[in-house]
Order: sequence, then C-alpha cells, then structure tokens
Amino acid sequence: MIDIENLFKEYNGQPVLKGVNIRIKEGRKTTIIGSSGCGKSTLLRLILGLEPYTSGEIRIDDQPLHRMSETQLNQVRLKFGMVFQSSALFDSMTVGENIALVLKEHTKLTDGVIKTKVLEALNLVELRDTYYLLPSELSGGMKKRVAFARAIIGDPKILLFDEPTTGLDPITSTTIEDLINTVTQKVGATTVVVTHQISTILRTSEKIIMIQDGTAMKTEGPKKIMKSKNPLVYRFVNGLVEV
Amino acid sequence: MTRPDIATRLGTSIFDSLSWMGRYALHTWEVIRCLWSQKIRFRHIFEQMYKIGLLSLPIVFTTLMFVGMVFASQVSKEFIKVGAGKIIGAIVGFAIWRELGPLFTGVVVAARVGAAISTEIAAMKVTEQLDALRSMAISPFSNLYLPRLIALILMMPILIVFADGVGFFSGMFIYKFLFHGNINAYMNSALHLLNSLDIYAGVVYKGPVFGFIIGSLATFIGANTKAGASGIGWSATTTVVSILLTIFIVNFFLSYIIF
Ligand SMILES: Nc1ncnc2c1ncn2[C@@H]1O[C@H](COP(=O)(O)OP(=O)(O)OP(=O)(O)O)[C@@H](O)[C@H]1O
Ligand SMILES: [Mg+2]
Repeated sequence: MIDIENLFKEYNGQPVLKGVNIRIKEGRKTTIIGSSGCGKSTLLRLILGLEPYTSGEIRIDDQPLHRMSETQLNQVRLKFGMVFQSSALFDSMTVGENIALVLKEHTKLTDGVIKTKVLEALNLVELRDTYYLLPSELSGGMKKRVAFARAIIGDPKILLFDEPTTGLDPITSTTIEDLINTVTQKVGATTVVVTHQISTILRTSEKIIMIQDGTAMKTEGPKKIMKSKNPLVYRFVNGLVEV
Repeated sequence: MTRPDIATRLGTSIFDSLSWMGRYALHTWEVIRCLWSQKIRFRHIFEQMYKIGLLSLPIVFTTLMFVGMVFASQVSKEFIKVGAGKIIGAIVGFAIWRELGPLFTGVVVAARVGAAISTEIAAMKVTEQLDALRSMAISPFSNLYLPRLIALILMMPILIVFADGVGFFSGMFIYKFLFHGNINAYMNSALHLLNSLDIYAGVVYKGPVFGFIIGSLATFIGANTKAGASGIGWSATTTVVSILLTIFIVNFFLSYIIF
C-alpha cells in the first residue's frame, strides 16, 4: 500500500507539489494524469525515495520514507519496478544485461535461468532479437519496451510506469496496456501509471487521479471520465483549450 | 555596485564553495565506506584498471618522452658548457623521478581519465540512469564510484613507474645522440647520486594520492551535474580544472614533506 499524506515538494523554493493526498491500495491499478510539468514524474521519484520531500509523508506498507537511510530505502525499493519517462536504459550494457541486472544483483539464480527469464520477458514485449543489441541501437519505442521488461523481470509487488505508452504506435501501445493488466493480475501487483494517453487511461486504470495546481484530485473512474462533471478533468481528457 | 551587494555576493560565493567542499567530503566518505559496508566488485575494479591503463599509456608515453627529451636537451646544453656533463643523468633522474614523472602523469590522467569518468557519470546522471540504478536498490557508490577510485589509486603508481622510465631513457637518448654523451656516465651518475627515496617516493606516495584526488573529484563532479547537455561539458571542464589545481597544490606540500 502506498500512502501519501499532505506531501509538499519544492525545487529551489519553487513549490511543485502542494499538499498531495493519495492512498493506493494493494493490487489496485491507479492512473495519474495532469498537465505537463505538474509534477507527476516528481511524485513517482518521491515514492521511490530518489529525492527527499519538503514535508508531509509517504508510507510504503506503513513504513515512512522520511529520514530513512539509503540502505533502508534500498530495502523498500526492492518491492518496486519502475519504467522511467526517459526509459533510462544503461547505455554501457546490452539489452540482455539491462534486463538481467536486477536478478544478477538481488537473486541467487544461475546465469542460465536468468537468461531464460530475460528472453521470456523480451518475448512478452516482442523484442526477441534485441538481446545482444545496445540501447543506442534501439528506437525510442523499443527502449520503452525494454524498460518495461526490465521493470517487471523481478516480479515486483509495486510497478511504477512513467508514460509507458508515449511514443508507441497504437498496436504496440495496446500490447503494453494489455501487459500491464496481465502482469498486474499474475503477481497481484499494485500499479501506478502516469500517462497522457487516453487509450492507456481507459484500458489500464481502476482509479484515476488528476494532479492539478500541486494537489491530487479524484476523478470518476475510466468508464465515466470522458464525460466528467468536473470541468478541469473534462477539458483535460478531451483536449479542450480553455474558453 | 553598492556595498551590501558586494558583501552579499561574497557571502553567497563563500557559502557556495563551503557547501561544495562539504558535499565533496561527504561523497568521498560515502565512497570509502563502501569498502566495509558493501560487497566489493573486484571485476569492476579490474575492468576499470584495464580501461584506465588503455586510455592513458599512449599519451603518458608521448608526454613523458617529450618532457624527458626537452629537459635533457636543455640541461645538457648548459651543463656541458660548464663541464658538468658527467652529472646530467642524475639531474634528469632527479627531476623526472621526483617531480616531472608523477606530475605529468597526474596531468595527463586528469585530462584523459578524469574527464572521461566525470562525463560518463554526468551522462548517466542527466539521462536518469543513476536514478534507475538506485531504483533497483543498486548503489552507484559501490558499483560505479568505488571501483573507479580504487582502480585509479592502484593504476597511478604503475603509470608513474612507466612514465619515469620513459622520461629518464628518452633523456638518455637525447644525451647520447644529440650531445654525443656517454651512456655509462649517464647511468652511473644517476645510480650514484640518486637515493632510493628519490626513486620510490613519487611512485609510492604521490601516485596513490594523485589517484585518489582524480577518482574522488571526477566521480563527485560527475554525480553532481545538473540536467541538460551543457551540464556534461561543464562537468568535464570543472573536473579537469579542479583536479589540476588540487594536484599542483598537494604536490607542493608532498614534495616539501617527503624530500
Ligand atoms: N531536479 C529538478 N530541479 C528543479 N526543478 C525540477 C527538477 N525536476 C523537476 N523540476 C520541476 O518540477 C516540475 C514538475 O516536473 P515533472 O517532471 O514532475 O513534471 P511532469 O508532470 O512529469 O511533466 P511531463 O508530463 O512533461 O513529464 C517542473 O516544473 C520542473 O521544472
Ligand atoms: Mg514526467
């Protein structure tokens, strides 16, 4: 469970998050939407403890992240898999090594078993032939899919996706959306998806939260959001410029 | 400019540099602490040693060859004039082993390896690769910074031994072929006038210290690069400049204490 309470974050005195309250229950699929620069990526980074927050609290399974040491944070991070907005593949490693790294570091699996798992994961994202390629030899959308494979390889309990389908063609995008759903079901993972893409919003979410003016706002679920009563949400999902 | 303006700016810049020094100390301590708090990655260390050697050997060789040659030729010219040709080997040896070998190796490694390490880490920082590592509960300190620091501490002495040899013998080459000197005289004067401290101090004391300076500053500056492509250029320049300044200053005190 992810519990965010009155979270504030500022960069150089500029507030980005101004009292965010979100509770994400175990096994649920939550989608976060909001205009560009509103702090969605920042929120994910804070959940992983990659940066300190200004005030408020984030609890992962009732453990507050505030004041945790890097070693303690690492224990918490083992529960997570994350797809970064920029994919963030390690460019000195091959695709195979990128995906294998978590297993090599944190499990006692043999190299053979790891390789099989990595190939399976690559298979899922339809990139079987890229095992020996370097990230620099991939397109942006391929990188996204490798990042996806890398995030799910260790069967983490909580998956954070920062715009997992942005830049993918509609079909691959659907594949990834389906994968988000199947993977979540398979291991009962909790997922948090940040996205602008309507198809992803509609296909992968159970609950949708919109970040607006530094605070979190609940919206109708995926079924009704396109006809939202809230004018802000309505305008956002329908891409309407303010009149 | 008004008075408070100057005071404020001075205050801010003093505060800034103090906070940078504090963060550098913290970073370096965090790296060193991995020695006992984390698994040591020997494979990473060997890889880095190999890389550092490969990057540095050709330019250490070229640099020290010309340093040895120019030094020997200038010394020979003047010393032979006053009839002191017999001690040229010792003079060149003194200069190379005590100062020129270690110092020029430090300069070359700072420019080649220091800048490479810093930009490598800076690029990882601005493309979120460092965050990706941390998100996987993998510490950049024990996986990236420590192996580079240790590899530099171990490789610098080796590179300096090599540099010293190249400098000394290229000096001998000049002495023999440009000034028709005697190789035996060159070698003998070096053997008799240099004591063992002259020869090993540069390698054993200066080498690891310079390696430490290069490794700790390069990883620190790389890891603290601000986002954006200009940040990577900034990290390269800042790394080289700060390493060179530190090495020259520290070298002065080391020489003063040792010899
Ligand atoms: N390291 C940083 N230093 C200073 N400001 C930052 C930093 N990271 C983010 N910001 C600022 O915080 C705000 C939120 O950034 P964030 O990346 O979280 O936005 P986002 O909602 O993910 O946007 P997008 O949809 O475009 O990805 C932005 O205004 C950005 O300028
Ligand atoms: Mg973002």
